[in-house]
Amino acid sequence: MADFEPTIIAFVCNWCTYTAADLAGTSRLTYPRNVRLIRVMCTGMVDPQYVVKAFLAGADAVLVSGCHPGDCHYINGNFKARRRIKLLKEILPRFGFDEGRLRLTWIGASEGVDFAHTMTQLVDEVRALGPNDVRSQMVL
Amino acid sequence: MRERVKSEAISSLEEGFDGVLGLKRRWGQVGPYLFTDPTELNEMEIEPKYCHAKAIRSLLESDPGLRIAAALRGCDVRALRELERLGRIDLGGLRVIDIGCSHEQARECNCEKPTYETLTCTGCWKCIDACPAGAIERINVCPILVPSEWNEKLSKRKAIYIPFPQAVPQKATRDSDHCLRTRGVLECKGCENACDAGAILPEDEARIDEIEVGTIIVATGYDAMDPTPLKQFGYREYPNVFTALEFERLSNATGPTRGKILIRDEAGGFTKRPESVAILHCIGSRDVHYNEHCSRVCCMYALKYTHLIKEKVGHDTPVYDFYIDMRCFGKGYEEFYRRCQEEGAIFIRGKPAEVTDQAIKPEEEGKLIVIGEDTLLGRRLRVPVDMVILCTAIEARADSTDVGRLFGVSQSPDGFFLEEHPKLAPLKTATDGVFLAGTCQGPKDIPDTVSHASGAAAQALALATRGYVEVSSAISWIDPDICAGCQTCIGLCAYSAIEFDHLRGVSVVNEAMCKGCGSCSGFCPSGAAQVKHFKKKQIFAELDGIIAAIQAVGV
Ligand SMILES: Cc1cc2nc3c(=O)[nH]c(=O)nc-3n(C[C@H](O)[C@H](O)[C@H](O)COP(=O)(O)OP(=O)(O)OC[C@H]3O[C@@H](n4cnc5c(N)ncnc54)[C@H](O)[C@@H]3O)c2cc1C
Ligand code: FES
Repeated sequence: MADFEPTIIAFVCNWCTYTAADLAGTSRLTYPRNVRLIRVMCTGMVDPQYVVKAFLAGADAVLVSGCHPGDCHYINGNFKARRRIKLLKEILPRFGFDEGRLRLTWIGASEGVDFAHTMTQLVDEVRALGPNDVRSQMVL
Repeated sequence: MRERVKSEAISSLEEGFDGVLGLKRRWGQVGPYLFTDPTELNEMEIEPKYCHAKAIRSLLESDPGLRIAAALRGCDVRALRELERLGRIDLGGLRVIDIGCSHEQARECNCEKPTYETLTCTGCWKCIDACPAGAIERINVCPILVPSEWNEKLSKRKAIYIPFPQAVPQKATRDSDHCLRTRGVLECKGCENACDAGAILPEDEARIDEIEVGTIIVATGYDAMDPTPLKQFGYREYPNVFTALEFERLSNATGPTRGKILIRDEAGGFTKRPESVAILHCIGSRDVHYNEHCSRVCCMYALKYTHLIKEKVGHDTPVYDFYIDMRCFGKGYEEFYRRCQEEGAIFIRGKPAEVTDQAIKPEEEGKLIVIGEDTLLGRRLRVPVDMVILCTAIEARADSTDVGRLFGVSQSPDGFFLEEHPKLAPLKTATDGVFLAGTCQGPKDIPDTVSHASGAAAQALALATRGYVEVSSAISWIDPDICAGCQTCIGLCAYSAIEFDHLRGVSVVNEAMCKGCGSCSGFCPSGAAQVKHFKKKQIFAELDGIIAAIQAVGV
């Protein structure tokens, strides 16, 4: 368990969290490599299917991260995402997924430090949760 | 107008003035004439415009005891006041009978600047007519006195005022928060009666105009930090501790002291010359408790002040500059630093700890004492001075968050607006067509602001003159073969870019309006709506690729 390296898929919006990740990079900040980013234009674009697919493909946790409330580049996409994640969190446990494996955060374009910090913390927490073995128990 | 001028002229003669200078038609021509007989005044003319300043000067010079009245226009009065300021004339014996210029006249003289619809003000200054007592206490018809924002509240202004001498357009404006009339306190008509142009509209109100534009340049500038919370520097506690902006007004020719660098006396008036001055750099800048950033301009304006004090107050006036580092980064800046050193300014490396009035030595009595350390000499210092100037930080404006949201511009951690890219797109923002100019993006001096703003203007124009815009290819498309016509997407679209085609029973994306946010694709129950380049197939392929790689070689 100690050498468990979680796989985390993060759906990040182009305008805020992706830019923050870029900033973290150009500022030479380090964060664990367990997080893989998938850039989307806005968190409002993240179909619940994407989240489920990520879990089924083998992700130990899924992060959706976008602009702070009120800052969405497309007016209110992040509010739509928030509603959707809330519903997903209710549904996922019925399939045996720990709802703590799905996260939603807001990280603004200038918050490179915050991005690196959030990623480090997330990886630590998921490491503590252990591997996501629901998939193996499922009859697919 | 003529009647009023005439009746004032008559009463002047009755009051015993030696004569009234005005215009009279003689030998077919209108020229200056000194009326001494009230019956003659019937022939007095007020048109055309004629400048009397020279005639008055020679009249008063030839006989200093003369008491005359003169029918004068605003420009004449200003000329005379200037002569008086220069000591060339004594206006003690002169009474001014005002002629307000007509709108046509003002236009002819080019006295008039571009006009707003509601304001027919000609900028004649009559309503703010300069009082010989000084520019600060401009006596005008308006009875209200409000601290002047332009002069950093060091002087007063009226409730009707021209915001500052170089204001464009140069027009009076009414402060409806203070005006007795607009507040409904009193039926005051002072300014209305005085204004011959009829520019003051009693029922005029601020209104909001909506203007359609293609590009926007945000140039909202900065806030100068209020040093009151930094109690150790004694701002507001000691009357002769000033902020840099206050000093800026005190050394300015149009400021409350007409450019004389003076400090407050016991009564609070600006009458005393400072015998020594301390300039404290980096107040609230480069300070983890307030602003981590460097305000960039303070070193250089502090040097400007150092030089101005030496020049205006006297070269023997000791000026102490307390600095952390001198950052003289621009063209000619290092040379200017050297020049100030050669002029004898004293530069002390070390940010002062405190400003106090508690004397412990006889030479400190009645002075402000700057307590600090010279970190180059490793020595503690107490420097008694008469005047302390705090070079306060340049901060993002307090309303930056709201303004940023309005234009879809985010902020850097220091609060200033975030450019699209620090090197490749320093004028652009993440929102197409919105550009940044000047200090709203970060502290800058005027040369840098002007360069930044010129660039922003050019980029905005380039976009506007082209006449068309390129839209991103990453926009939504609804597959009509899959769309079930549920119309969920229509309610979700923040840009009203989706319409329902009743004929085919499907939703259709308007490509010119779609911004590609994908709200529709995220929700579409049948998966018909997809953003190009971000289709489900593409995202899934990306996901599979990532996971396959991790499974093959580990994270
Ligand atoms: C004490 C001091 C001394 C200085 N001395 C010098 C010097 O000697 N030389 C030099 O080169 N530089 C100097 N500077 C720097 C100089 O002031 C700035 O470089 C310059 O003013 C920046 O111009 P700007 O247009 O970006 O911002 P500003 O001058 O701040 O102008 C912004 C304008 O936008 C308006 N505004 C704000 N919000 C809104 C809104 N929502 N709607 C409409 N209007 C709005 C504001 O009222 C303001 O008029 C000094 C600065 C300070 C603080
Ligand atoms: S663009 Fe970042 S959440 Fe919508």
